[in-house]
Amino acid sequence: MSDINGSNYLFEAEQSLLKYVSDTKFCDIFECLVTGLVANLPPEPWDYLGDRLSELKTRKGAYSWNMFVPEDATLQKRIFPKGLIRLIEKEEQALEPSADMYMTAYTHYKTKLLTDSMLGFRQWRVRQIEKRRVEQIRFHMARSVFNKKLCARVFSKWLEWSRYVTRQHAKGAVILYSIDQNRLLSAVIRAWRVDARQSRKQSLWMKRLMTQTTSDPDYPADDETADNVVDEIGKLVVNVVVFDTRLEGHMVDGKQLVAKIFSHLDFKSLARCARVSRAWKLLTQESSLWRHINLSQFRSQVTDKALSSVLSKCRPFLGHLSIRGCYSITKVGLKNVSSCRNLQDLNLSEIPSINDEALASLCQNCPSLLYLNISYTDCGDNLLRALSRHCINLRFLSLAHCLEFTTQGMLHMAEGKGCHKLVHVDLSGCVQLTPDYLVYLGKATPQLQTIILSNIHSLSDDALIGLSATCHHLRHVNLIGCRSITDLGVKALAIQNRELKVFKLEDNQNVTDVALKTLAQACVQLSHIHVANCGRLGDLSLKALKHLKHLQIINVADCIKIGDAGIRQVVEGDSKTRIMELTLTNLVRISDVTLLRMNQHLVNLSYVSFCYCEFLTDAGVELVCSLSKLSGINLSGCNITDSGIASLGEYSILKYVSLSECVNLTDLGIEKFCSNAKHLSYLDLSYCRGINNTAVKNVAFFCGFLVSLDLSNCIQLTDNSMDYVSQGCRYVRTLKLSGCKHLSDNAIKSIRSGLLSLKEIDISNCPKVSQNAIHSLEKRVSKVIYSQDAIF
Amino acid sequence: MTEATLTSGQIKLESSDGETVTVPLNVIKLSATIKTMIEDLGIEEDNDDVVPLPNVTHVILNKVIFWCDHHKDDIQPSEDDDNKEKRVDDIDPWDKEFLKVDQGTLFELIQAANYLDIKGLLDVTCKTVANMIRGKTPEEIRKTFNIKNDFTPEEEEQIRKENAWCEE
Repeated sequence: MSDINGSNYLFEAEQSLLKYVSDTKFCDIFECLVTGLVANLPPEPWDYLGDRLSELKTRKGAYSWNMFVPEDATLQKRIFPKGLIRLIEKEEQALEPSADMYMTAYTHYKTKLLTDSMLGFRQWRVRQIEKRRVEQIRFHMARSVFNKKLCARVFSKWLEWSRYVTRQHAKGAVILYSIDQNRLLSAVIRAWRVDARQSRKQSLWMKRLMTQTTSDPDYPADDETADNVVDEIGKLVVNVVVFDTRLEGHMVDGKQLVAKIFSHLDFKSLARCARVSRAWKLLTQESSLWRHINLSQFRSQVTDKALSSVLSKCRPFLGHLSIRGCYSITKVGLKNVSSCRNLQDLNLSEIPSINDEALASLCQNCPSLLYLNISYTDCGDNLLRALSRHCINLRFLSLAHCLEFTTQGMLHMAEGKGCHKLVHVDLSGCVQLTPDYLVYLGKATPQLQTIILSNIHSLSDDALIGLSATCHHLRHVNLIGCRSITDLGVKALAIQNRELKVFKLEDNQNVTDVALKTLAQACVQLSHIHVANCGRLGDLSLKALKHLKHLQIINVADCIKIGDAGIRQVVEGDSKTRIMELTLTNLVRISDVTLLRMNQHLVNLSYVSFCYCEFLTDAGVELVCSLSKLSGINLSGCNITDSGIASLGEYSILKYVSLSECVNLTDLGIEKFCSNAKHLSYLDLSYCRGINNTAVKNVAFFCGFLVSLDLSNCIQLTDNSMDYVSQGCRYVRTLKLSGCKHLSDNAIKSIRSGLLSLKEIDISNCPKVSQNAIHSLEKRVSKVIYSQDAIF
Repeated sequence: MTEATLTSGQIKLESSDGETVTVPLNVIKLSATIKTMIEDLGIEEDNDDVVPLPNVTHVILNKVIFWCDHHKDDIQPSEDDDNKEKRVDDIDPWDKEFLKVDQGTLFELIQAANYLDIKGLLDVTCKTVANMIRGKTPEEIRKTFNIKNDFTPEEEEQIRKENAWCEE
């Protein structure tokens, strides 16, 4: 293979050499020589070769590899399968590159690859970023487009809706306007109708008044009665249901009911009923009707004879008899009375003929007497002796204003069998009493519960101490007007009588806070305290009352030392939910603070009086008015104005209101107040000089249930005001008009025809009212007060 | 029956003509008859039991309930008041308006008040009738109540003489 190596070298040689080899076809010659050698295997190779070379030298053209191979030779395949050139070429291909070359190639390749891929990557990335950016921009655009579309949709919807709402509003406004117009119209028409009715009534009434004036003025009362009777008959025509016929069906029930009805009748009416028919006569003889007889209203008409005829009918049944003030009764009459053995209750007060002798036999005959009233008579010690001997069961005894009896009589009572069961003794006005008398009374009546000692100015502490030494069950003590009592007496009373519930003391300048403190500590059951005009009592007294749990009624009128601090103790004390009545008249020191506390605590307050509490303002009064149980309020002499009374009656049903001397009030305030207080039954507007007919018109219009009306010294009132009152307040029983100087006979006429229930009227100091008018009024009204100088 | 039910509960009453009326207990408690019945029988709240009132028509029953409703919060008069003199004309003006009815209705009201034992209503209705009688002459009374005079003149004169003293 040396030639091959040589050819290797050859191949490494220059290109020109290669060209040479190729041009000369040296390789082909060589191949065909070698192949001839192999195929012929000549014994003389060198000669063979020389021959063959000269042969080739002459030969022109191509050299095939097998030109020296005999045709029968077996050699069919080339020794150099692909020719020598090919061999060289093959050798060339099989050439192995060096490691460096590999390295270089690898590095180059790698760098190239890296560069290419990096470039590719960069391009890809740039494209990516570009794509994303474009996408983003598109997305933004899409979104904004979407939003705008959405907005457009919403706005269009909204527009639609708002147009719809506007249309609806317009429609609604039209409807509302028409409703309002209708309402207004109906209100106007209603008001008009009311007004028309009122004016028709008024004109009718005026007409009637005119006709009455033309008729005989002396008999207006009889005309009225006739009218009433006609009314009653008219009712009957509509409804011919008669008591009598109805009663036949339910005889038993009916008899009781008729007795019940008749029990409301006085003696005179019963006597008349007996004359109606036989059936009615029987009904009037029902025994239960004759258990109570009250003849006190007949006064002088009750003579001995009349009394005996009455008593003859009912002697066995008679239990309760009152002949108070029947001054024609004499001893004979009393003898008749003493024949009623079942008498339990006897009232003989104000009968001048009563004396010890007459009563002694009565006591003897009527052992079951429980109640005896002989006040304002001349009874003396002998009666007391008779009582103690015979009337052992006596419970109630009134000796008020009997000036004849002395200590001696009571001594009989204490030492004899006595009236030891007495629980109620009334000694008011018995100024002759000595301390000993009460000592004996205490001994005689250990169970005494109620004692009334009012108006005994000289009553001393000793008397009270003596009484309380033996009486330990007193519940009700009345010391009104006992000016001489001091702390000592009250203390003794309180300590000995721990069941005390009612304590009344008035007009006393000796008793101090100390006494009240003892009273409050000892008597925890106290429910009613009345200490009006006890000038030495102050805030400390009320502080003592703080812990009482049952207080209901407190009256500290005119105790001018008491101020806000004291009232606070009571208002915030233990009985704050029980207090029902509070009288703070003339407590000039109290202010709105007290009213605020009352508003917060006294939930059950039903009556309160602030007369002449001049520091109270409208705001305070408004606070008190918001208490829901308040039914009565007295604001006389307070400096309140229209706005203060505006809320009166708005939160509770007011029955009693006094606004006397509230000079700042005007018609406007009264109108507002009256429109709230429609259930008012008592109204006092005296000395309200600011009001005139309009106020009275409103009172009459709103307060139809008034029973008592005081308009004294409302100087602006004229006759018209009485027209209103008689139209509106048909149930008025008491009417006070004194000092209304413009009122004339016309006013009296309207009163007479309108106020059928009137029982009492005060027309003093009305100079224009004539004597005739007063006389005609007296026929109808039982009590007429007038100035004497008006009658000439 | 607790105090709470008495103040808040209701009860059904059936009138003679079959009408059922539901009344709050604190209104109808003025009727002693019903109050006693509730307390004795212990009728529970929300019970469907109906109390039959065979003597009272629904017109009258409604009037009675209306009266009770107005007077349900009145303070009950204490026992001490018995000592006071009876005053016939002492009718609350509201009641006067309420009782401006014909005689038939007035009579039925008296019966109902008696049957239901409502003291206040019975009193006020009786007073109203008494007021119709008071101050009238026998002849006027006869006219008012449509009564025939069955006395002979002699008898009448005899009775008149007996009580002539108070007519002077």
